Amino acid sequence: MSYIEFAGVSKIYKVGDTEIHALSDVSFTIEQGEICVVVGPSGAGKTTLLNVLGGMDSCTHGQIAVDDRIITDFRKRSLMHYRRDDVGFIFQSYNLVPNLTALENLELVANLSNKAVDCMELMRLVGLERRAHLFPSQLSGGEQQRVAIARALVKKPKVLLCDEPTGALDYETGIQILKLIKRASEIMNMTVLIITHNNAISPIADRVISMKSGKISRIEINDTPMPVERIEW
Amino acid sequence: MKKTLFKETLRSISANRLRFLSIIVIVALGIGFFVGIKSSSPAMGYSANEYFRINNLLDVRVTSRIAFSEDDINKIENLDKVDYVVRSRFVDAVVSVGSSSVVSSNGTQFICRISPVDVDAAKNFTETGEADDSYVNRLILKDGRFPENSGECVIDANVIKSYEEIEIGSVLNLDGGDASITDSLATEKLTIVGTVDSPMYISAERGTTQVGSGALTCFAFVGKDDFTTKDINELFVKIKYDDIYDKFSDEYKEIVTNLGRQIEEMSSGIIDSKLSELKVEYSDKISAKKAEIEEYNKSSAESLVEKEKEITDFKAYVDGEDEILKQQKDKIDKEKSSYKTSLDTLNSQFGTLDATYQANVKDYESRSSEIKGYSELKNLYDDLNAKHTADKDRLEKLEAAKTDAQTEYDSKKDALDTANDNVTYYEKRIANLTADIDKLKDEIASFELERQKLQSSVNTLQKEIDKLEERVNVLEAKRDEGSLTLFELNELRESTKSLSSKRGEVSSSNSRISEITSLITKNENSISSKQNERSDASSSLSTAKDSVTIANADFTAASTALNSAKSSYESFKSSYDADGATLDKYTASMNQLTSGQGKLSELAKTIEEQKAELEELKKNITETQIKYTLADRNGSLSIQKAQFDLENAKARYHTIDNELTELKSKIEQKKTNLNGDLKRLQNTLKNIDSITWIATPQNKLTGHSAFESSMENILSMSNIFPVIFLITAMIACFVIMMKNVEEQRGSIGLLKAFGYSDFVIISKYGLYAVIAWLGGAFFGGIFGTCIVPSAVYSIFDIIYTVPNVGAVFNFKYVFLGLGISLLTTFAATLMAVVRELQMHPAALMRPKMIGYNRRSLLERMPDFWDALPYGLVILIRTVIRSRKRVIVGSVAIACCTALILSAFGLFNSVTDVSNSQYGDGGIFNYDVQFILNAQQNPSDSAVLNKLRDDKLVTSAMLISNKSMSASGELDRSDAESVHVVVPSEMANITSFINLNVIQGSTDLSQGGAVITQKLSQNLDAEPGDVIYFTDADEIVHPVEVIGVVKNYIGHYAYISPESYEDSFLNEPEYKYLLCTVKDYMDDEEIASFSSEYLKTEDVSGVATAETMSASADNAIKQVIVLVLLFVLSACLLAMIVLYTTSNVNISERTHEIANIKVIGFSDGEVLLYVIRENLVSTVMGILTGLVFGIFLHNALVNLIAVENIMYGTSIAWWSFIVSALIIIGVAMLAALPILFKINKVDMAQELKSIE
Repeated sequence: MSYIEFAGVSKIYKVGDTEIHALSDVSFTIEQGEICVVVGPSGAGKTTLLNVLGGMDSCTHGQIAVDDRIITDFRKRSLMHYRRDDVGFIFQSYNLVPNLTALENLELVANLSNKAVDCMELMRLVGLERRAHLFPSQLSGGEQQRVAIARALVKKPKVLLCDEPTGALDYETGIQILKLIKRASEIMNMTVLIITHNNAISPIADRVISMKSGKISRIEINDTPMPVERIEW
Repeated sequence: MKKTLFKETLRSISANRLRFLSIIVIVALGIGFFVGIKSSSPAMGYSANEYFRINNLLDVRVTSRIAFSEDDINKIENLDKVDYVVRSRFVDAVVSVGSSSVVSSNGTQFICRISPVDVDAAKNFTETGEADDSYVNRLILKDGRFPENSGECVIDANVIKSYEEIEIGSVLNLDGGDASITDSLATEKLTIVGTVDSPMYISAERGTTQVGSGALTCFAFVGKDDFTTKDINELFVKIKYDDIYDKFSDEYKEIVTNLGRQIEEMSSGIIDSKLSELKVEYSDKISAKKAEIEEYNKSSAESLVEKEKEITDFKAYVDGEDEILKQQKDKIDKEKSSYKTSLDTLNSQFGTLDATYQANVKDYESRSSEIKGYSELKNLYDDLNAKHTADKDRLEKLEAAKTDAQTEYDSKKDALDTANDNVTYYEKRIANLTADIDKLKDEIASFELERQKLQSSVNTLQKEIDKLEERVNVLEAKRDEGSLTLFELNELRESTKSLSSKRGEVSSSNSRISEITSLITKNENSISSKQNERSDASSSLSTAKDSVTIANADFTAASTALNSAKSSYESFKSSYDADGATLDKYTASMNQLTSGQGKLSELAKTIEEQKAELEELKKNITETQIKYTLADRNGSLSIQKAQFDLENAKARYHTIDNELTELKSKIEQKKTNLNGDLKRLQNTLKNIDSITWIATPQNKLTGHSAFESSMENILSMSNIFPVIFLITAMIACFVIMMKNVEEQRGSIGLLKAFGYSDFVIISKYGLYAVIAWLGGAFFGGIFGTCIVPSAVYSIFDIIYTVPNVGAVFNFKYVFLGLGISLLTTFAATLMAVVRELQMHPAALMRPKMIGYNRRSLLERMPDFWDALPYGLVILIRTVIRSRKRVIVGSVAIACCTALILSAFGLFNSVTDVSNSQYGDGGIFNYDVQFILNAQQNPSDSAVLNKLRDDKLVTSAMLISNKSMSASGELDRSDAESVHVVVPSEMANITSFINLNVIQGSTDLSQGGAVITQKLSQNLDAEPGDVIYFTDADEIVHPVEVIGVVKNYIGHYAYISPESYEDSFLNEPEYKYLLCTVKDYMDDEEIASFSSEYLKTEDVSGVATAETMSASADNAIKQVIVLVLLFVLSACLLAMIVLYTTSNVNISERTHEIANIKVIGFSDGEVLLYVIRENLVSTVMGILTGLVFGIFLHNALVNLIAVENIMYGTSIAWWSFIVSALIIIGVAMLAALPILFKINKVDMAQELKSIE
């Protein structure tokens, strides 16, 4: 069995009388330790896919299994613990708590987890040990995103979900961030799902899933992923 | 404004209904309280004025001790300002119901003022509400009906409420005191048919009277015809100025005060002539009294002299009787004593002789008993001797038996030895034989060995011989053949030779063998003979052994027999020897006794002689005894008679003496009474000059000034209380509106970007504010004008009878409240919008930057900061970040906590009062107060003595208690009704009343008065100051204050008897008796104890601490209404402020909430994360609020103070806890909707990327 499995997953939003099919009958698998990139235009359902996988939203039909557990059957409380223990999130807009310093943002998560990594160690890993005591508003976008990555890694998640992690960053910084994610995945044997509309990132992935209007249009397996430094956009 | 924008505004309201609603409620509460309490005081004034107007209350009341003449009244009517004058009269009486008198709630006599009422006018007014102007002070019928027949009355409604024993249908017995009731009234009994309120008395106070204890308890009205007197002693003056509506206005007060003064001044001229008449009358009365006293003194002196003569005469007679008795006694005593002497001598002689005799008898008896012992001894001896002789034979027999046994034993022993020798012999012999046999056997064996050896050598030789013979034969054959060789020849020779030697050898050996064989045979024979011999010896041995066994048995038996014979002999021998020794002893004793016999017979003779002598003496004594008894009896008879006579005489003397004493005390009493009368008359005469008309303007009527000060109190309370409320509400409102705008900065930026002008944008938010304010103002106005004043009024309803007329729409305060609230709501909005509008649209549309300059001071100390636990770090940062909200929150909470605490504190203060006054450890320690029928002398009071003898009573004391009015100023502008208490025993006062000194000293003996705290405050009198007491006769007595003591209910002044006499020119009237009972008695037992005393004729009434406390309690319990009002509204305000601040907080932070929810915070953790600052502000608010509440409570207690009640200023500990708990509960309640909201935050939506 694969590490992550989507079987016939659909997500339908009802707005008044109209139904919006954000996901319709999506099935695919991802193996443990893979880096998987989901590409597609805006409105293709990428973020919905990420939300249901991250336990932030429920799906209307179908099943999602992560590490042999069927998360679509989870109740609210189990979902909370799933988020708390198994999933790390990285957002395009960083979503750091503004009135906590970078290090404290990490500690906020570390306080919840019993398998937490030393926060300062992580700050060192993302190369921000000197800026650890600054507030988010004192950091650049790339730095904030690195803090966000560190925060996601504090609890050693099984799955790292990244929603347009480079979307708000310039090329150089974006490359840095991607390198960081890839390295972390290798060190921690973490399964990573990156959502992007930027096709240029695809070559670094082990698996590329292309989406279009709520459906999967293509799944591509890449036996020889390209090193991050070599991609360009 | 553009239509779309307007629509948008309305939509933004409905989108966040709850917040909008909170703003409305906050505004409403603030305005409502402000307006409500502010207008409470005017509403009270309005109600009172309406009440006075409708009931046509007098403007000036004029009373006089000398009846007004028509002339006088005309003069008053002709005064400038006077409209008309209504004539009336009253009489005061002590009231009893049934057989027992009623006790007023403060423990004094129950005194009622009875006045006439025009029944027709009163009925008409009650039915139609209309009446003629001449009907003043119109009564309000509360229950029952107006009097229709003679002897019926309507009574003070307050009385029915406060006294269980009085109800409609009760019959009141009236006692006029000095003056007879029938002088003025047609009847002494009145039946209650209804209850009324009078506008003259708006409080529970009823003023003073000249009757009894001086405090009026109630009023009653009878039909006009029931008054028989035509004297007019009360006038009600109405003034012309109908247009002066507000009776509390200075203008009105000035008019009536001046009018009153004018009337009083007028009186001096008018009644001077009357006074001189009165003076003459009193002078006459005094001279008459003096004459009476003179007369009485004379007559009493005469009767006294008479009585004294009688007693002197009788005294002589008694003394004569006494002398006779004495002589008789002497004679008899002499005779008796001579007999007594001889009797004593005889007795002593008899005694001595008797003693010797007794000793001899005793000696004799002991000796004869010894003699008796001799025969017993002899018997013993004989018995023992016989036995001893018999025993001797037996002993010899035993000895013989012993010798026999010895002989037997010896023979048996010999036999045994012989047998043993036999055995030894045979054993030795057997041993020898065996040794011989063995030796022989050995020899045989060696012979055998030799024979064998020989045999074998013979055999060997035989073989060799056989061989040789063979060879020889061979050789010989050869030789025979001739073939024989030389060598062989040689050989043949040799062999033949050897053969022969060998044959010799064999034969010798054979001979030896046969020799040996014979030897063996010989030996064997000798062995068998020896063996036979041995078996013989062996059998003899066994026989010998058997005989040893038998001999041994015999020997053992003999030995046993010998031993037993020996032992029986020994034992018998020892007992035999003992008997011998005893016998020797017996013999010795017997010899001794035989010698005593002679002495005994001598003694018997002496005894006989002495006995005779004694008999003689006894006879002598008896004779003398009889003589003595005779003399004694005769003597005592005659003495008894004489004594009886004397007793009679003495009794008579005492009777006469008592009569004399009685006469003396009667005379004394009468003299005292007469002198008292005289003194009173003289006093009255002295005071006649000060008699004037007394004019009381309306605002000085009993209770009116109290009502006015209550109004003022509420007014001043409204300057603190609702202002705090309003400020709290407005701060909350301000912050909410600010936040509201800040939240909308995005859309403000958008509008600005679209090109809307600043004005339009401002008016959009202004509109929102105004709509909210309008709603709040509307509800607050209703709340403030309708509900709050009624609630406030309900407290004063307990104290005052003025009916609540209803809501007064007080424009001034309503507009003030509205203005303030509009200003705050609108200003907040305006400020916020203007501030936002100064930014560029682009900046507005970006999320607000959170400055990084918000590092707290603590964070600048890294060592310290890093050591703090993570939770605390977050807490401090959150508080600093949202300090504005935290401060607003804690101010609001603090205000609410303070309000609630002060409300509870008020409740404590009020409920504490009666307990502090009457309870255990309170001011009044006594358990029962008795009201006496007449004043008593402390040194000689029957009731007092009876009480002091009662086992249930620990102490009792007479006191005097007079109600007077006291003032600090001579013009009596600040008069208060005071109980002047005079203890009969100065030293004991503290065991009945606790004088807890606050200022000065309580040492009454130094003169002057100790007054109670509230009185000291009201009169502004401190130790050293002089206050003025005015008694019922309107005479003013200045007294110096020496100390101030604690007290809660009523005003008291304590004065020593001496200084009372000095100051008040009268002796104290001890008509009250204070009494403490044993601790173990409960209320019921005290009640039954006191009712027991009520039956005695001296006691006319009883008040227990319990009943006084209960009536005091009733009056103040309803303050709960106010408490409830405060608590509820404070709770509401607190809840809304908390809810709104956290609500604002939440909408501002949904993004953050979604963020931490995604991280994996549970709802509870999120709630804690979000309301952290609420927790801080709640805790801070509660703490500061509790402190603030103490001050607020103090202020409140001072403000609501009723004139004669001293409220406690301490707050019970539970009030603090309950207040804090209520706020915590409210905070939790306010957090509930937030929890739902957290639950609803959509993480996915909030964190969506901008694509």
